[in-house]
Amino acid sequence: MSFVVEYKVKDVGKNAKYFREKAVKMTGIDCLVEVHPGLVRFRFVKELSEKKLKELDSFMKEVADGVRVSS
Amino acid sequence: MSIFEGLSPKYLKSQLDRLSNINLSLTELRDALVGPNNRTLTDIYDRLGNIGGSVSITNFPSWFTSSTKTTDDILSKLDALDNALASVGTDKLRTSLVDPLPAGNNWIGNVRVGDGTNVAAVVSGTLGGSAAKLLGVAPDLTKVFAGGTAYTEQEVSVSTTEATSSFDPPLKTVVLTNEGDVDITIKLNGGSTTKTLSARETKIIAFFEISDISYVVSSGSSTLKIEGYW
Repeated sequence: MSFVVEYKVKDVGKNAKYFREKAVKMTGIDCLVEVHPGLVRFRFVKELSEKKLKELDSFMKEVADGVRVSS
Repeated sequence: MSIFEGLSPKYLKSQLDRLSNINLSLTELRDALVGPNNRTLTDIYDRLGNIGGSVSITNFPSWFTSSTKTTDDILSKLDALDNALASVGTDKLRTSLVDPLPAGNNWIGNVRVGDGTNVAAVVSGTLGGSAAKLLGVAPDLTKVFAGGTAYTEQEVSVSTTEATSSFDPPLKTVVLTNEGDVDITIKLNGGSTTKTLSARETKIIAFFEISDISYVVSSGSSTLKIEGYW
């Protein structure tokens, strides 16, 4: 069971490897990441706390003007 | 005349000989000796088992190397042990055992850990069983068949401007379906080699790690469905 978090983003030339490294470092939880045009999807191996989710929101907002659309 | 002058030597000798039969043990008089606060030898005896402070003790094991062997030395050793245990803690275990694992997929050999994989099932899987992990590049079949947690599916619009979908960790099996009526040109992993995905065509790319899929059409637009297994 994975914990999926999706963001609508502006395309900023960052790939999945970049987002995964940042997310794992930020949350301490491993994840699978896929980046499509206008979309970044994280599949965390376990549920994120509200605090970590908000940290991720802030990060995504900062680097890709990301807005969370599901979690 | 003194009193001894009136005693016969023989009598005196017989009396002195009797002295050798006197019981000099003070056992019976032990509690007759009373100190301050009415303490007796019995009180002292009873309290030997409750002695505190620094007491020298013998017969220590050879590994106890302190030159002195008192209760203070023992306490010092116990304090050192207490401090050592306190410094271990869960953080220490995490940093010592977990953090050194390779970042990313957390593979130990061919076994993936840290994400709920049933390791025993993977290890004991057979070629004919659904739990088998045949190769390092094969998708984790235990997940594919157990709810698809390592499966993703995404439809992307394809235009005349090249775009890219990326994956980390890389996908190990990919199913690409061109859902439109225009051929799509595909490039994998940033390479220059192109492949054509004809209109309404599906291609399966298995046992090959894919981290990037680039797609473009020469004219018009199409929709590319990407299904992948990690």
